[in-house]
Amino acid sequence: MSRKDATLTTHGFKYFLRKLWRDPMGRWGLLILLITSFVAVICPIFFPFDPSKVGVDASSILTGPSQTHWLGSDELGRDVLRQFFSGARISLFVGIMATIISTIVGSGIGVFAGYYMGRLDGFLMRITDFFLVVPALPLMIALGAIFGQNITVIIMVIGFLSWPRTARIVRSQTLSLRQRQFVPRAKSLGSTNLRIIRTHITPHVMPLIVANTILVVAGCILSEATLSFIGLGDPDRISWGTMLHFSFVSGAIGRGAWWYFLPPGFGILFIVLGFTLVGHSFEKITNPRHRGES
Amino acid sequence: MSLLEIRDLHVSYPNRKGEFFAVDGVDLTIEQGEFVGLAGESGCGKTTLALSIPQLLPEHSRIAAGSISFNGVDTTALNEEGLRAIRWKEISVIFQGALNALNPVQTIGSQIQEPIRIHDESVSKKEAQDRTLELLEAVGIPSHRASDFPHQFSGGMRQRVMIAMALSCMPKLVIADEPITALDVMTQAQILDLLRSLCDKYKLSMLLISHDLSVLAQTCDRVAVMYAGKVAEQGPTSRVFGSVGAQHPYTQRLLRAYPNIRHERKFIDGIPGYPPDLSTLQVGCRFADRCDVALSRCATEVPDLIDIGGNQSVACHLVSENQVGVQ
Amino acid sequence: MSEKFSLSIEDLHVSYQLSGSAGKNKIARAVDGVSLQLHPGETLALVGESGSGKTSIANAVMRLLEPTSGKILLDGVDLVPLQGSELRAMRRNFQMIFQDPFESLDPRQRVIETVMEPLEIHGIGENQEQRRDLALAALAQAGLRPAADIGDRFTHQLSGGQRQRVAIASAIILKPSLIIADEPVSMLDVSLRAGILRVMADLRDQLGVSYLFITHDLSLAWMFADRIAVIYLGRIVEEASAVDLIENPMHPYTKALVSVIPVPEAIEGASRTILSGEIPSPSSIPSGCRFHPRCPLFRELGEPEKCLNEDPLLQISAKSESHLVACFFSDPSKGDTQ
Repeated sequence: MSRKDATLTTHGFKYFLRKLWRDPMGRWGLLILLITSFVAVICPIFFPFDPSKVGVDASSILTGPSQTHWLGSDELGRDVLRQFFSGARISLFVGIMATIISTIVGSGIGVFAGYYMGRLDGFLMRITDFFLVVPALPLMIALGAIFGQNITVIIMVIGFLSWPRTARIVRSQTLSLRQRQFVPRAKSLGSTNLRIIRTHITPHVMPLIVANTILVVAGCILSEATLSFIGLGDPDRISWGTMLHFSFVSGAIGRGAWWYFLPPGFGILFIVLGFTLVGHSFEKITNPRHRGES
Repeated sequence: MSLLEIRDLHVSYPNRKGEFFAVDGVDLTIEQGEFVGLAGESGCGKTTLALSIPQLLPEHSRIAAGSISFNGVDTTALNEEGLRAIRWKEISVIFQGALNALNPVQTIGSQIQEPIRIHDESVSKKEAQDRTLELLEAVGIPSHRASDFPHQFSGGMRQRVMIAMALSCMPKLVIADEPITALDVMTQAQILDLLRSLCDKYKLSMLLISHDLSVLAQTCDRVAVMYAGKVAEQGPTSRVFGSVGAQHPYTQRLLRAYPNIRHERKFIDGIPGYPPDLSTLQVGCRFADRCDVALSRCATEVPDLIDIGGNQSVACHLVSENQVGVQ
Repeated sequence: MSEKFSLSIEDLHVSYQLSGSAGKNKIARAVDGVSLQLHPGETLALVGESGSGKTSIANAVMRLLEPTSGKILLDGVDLVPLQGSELRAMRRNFQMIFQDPFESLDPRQRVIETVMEPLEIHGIGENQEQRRDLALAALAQAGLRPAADIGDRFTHQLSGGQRQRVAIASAIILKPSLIIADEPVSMLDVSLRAGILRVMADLRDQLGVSYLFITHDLSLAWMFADRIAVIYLGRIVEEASAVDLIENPMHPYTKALVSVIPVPEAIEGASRTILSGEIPSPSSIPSGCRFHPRCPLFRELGEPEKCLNEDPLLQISAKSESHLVACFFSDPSKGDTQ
């Protein structure tokens, strides 16, 4: 008899890491994430970036790689490498914070809609649909105008616009779990609904939420880069997207100052690729339908 | 010549250590027009045995040894093309749980018609339609329902549709794998009655697989009881369930696991323990460690299926020793 | 009067609205006026085909389904008006064993967690240690030995029979007065059934628990239960002691059911009454006696008007006070058969 959950039982974190490492896709993803987190977390400690430390004269503006500036300087004569390190930190921070918001809101709404069904489900799903179609850019411009270009606003906007997909996935999983007989059994034992959600629904949707979360991080980092690139980023906290924006407006691309726009560009590509690879690999491991073995 | 003669059949599945035998040296004969029941608990190899006849085994499994002679032809030696000529036209299968596998967007009439036209291209559309209506009548479905869709049918009616499909090319042998398991008691009786009458009417041979011995006792001419990949006992229903009685300790204990309303009311007996794990090496009689009358040799020697007369045979050391004693 | 019953169901109705285009606002009467009484320590088997309403009765008693009307008295307390925390607190007195042991146990829980869960819900036991000991004792009582060893496994690592024993252990740990067993052995191999039923019978003797045993298998009901009630299309058609019902079935439906019970014996010329057709939908219950379209007696008697127009009530038969039947013509002693 094929029982869906037989493979999905409580395995520790280590088990998943080992599984990820065995999958080529997961291994490359993990390596990429390891490198980027090193760049984002460790490097800025040793090479801090000070936005106010501008160049002294015209000769230090947009210079190529040299002994003093390994990756050249920007249009204000600041060190690009240090900026790159600190940009990684901001990009990652925004991506993760937005994802936390997105995951909490999305899985919460998904679980409750799927578990209670009926009218609450209908109501929550209409809200989900609404957020699914709200266009991010105009909202961002409007909010930017009201609250100013602020990193908190960016996190909030990205977080509150990216949860609907999570909510839909979690809801459908919850709906199918609700049909399983262990739910009425728990009810007949005298469990409250909240207890059933906590002990019998959440552990089953958790792997799905984790896999989805990893993919959402990639999406959020990309959203942040897009918003920052078109100039809606926080000018005090320079992310990779903001770097691209300034390299574009300062004409670095026209002048062939590749050291200014290539590092953040490849950085974004790299980090998004890393999260996507790990996310898909994790999905493959936790979803038995994708697996050949029993 | 019998219609079907299976000799010393071994069917293996791969496992981590190599392979294990789900069917391990089985002999089975089915005569023309005979209704044979195949009983056993889940995992005893009864479905594997049945599906090896038209070679519809799951992927990776293979017939490792033995022969299956159907109508004088060894099906194990046939290639894919030769098998295609036999499947459905000569041997058809009513798969377990297939009543839920009907195409929901096709009328049942056209679903019955389809195999007729696929397997014999000379049949015209009109002929196939007439044949379909005839089949529906034969399985007790009013012909006006041919244009209905599967969801308009109950489980019992859908099983009748499956039977009509199995009969569509008038095969010589029909294999029915647990055809009544999911149905209600009264519907079960209806379907068994139908299978029996179709078998008699069209001189079909039937292999009915069921986990329920009491169902087979009332329907079949002959039964074979399988345990852990081997036939434990086989014989005519009238002997095994009647005059002579079951001889193998497993069959006897299995029979005591059913309440019998014709006898005094008493608590049913189970069989302690579990069937052996076939993926490990088997020595001796496979039932020995659950058997309460096991002899010392049962643990080491595999008992052969011995004919004890009246076409009844038993694979048990105790029975064969008593036989020798009698003679 | 209701004091002496463990469970007393009075005129229970469960109906629901059919949705979708097929049944436009039709009402399906799954349970259509059922009354049942169950004495403490007694086992009552509720026997019927699928669609007869037997599972709806079980779910209504378990309050997994809202009854439309009627009373469900458990040890004299009506369960129907109870809601929320009152109902949840009451639940420790009645438990259910579900049909499918593969579906009814959470595969992510360990066996010991599954059995301890009811204790945690109802706050029984002073600490985890004590709850653990109680759970191990219940596992041993359900025949799972060594209990500590099995308790550490995940439920998906167990066989069907072992899982059903886990379900039994978690049902008895609260010491309920009533256990509803919904086809507890139908998913299990024949050789394992006796073991499960034996454990249930032992618990009946030791704890004095009463069972509402729901099954489609009349012979199993005969063997296990004290009394049998046969249900057809939401209504009890016959009720008697288990032996009496099998030996002297009165209702034509029961007679047919008894005649088709498979027996592991080769019987020459056994007379079986195989009813034609199937149980109708609860959204279109036939007029008069709901069984008349399939009734052999109805046809034999030349289709009497009474069966077409009047709904027979479940009444004491003239033969025995404990044998109840809902048929105008099946009671030979009443003399109105002619």
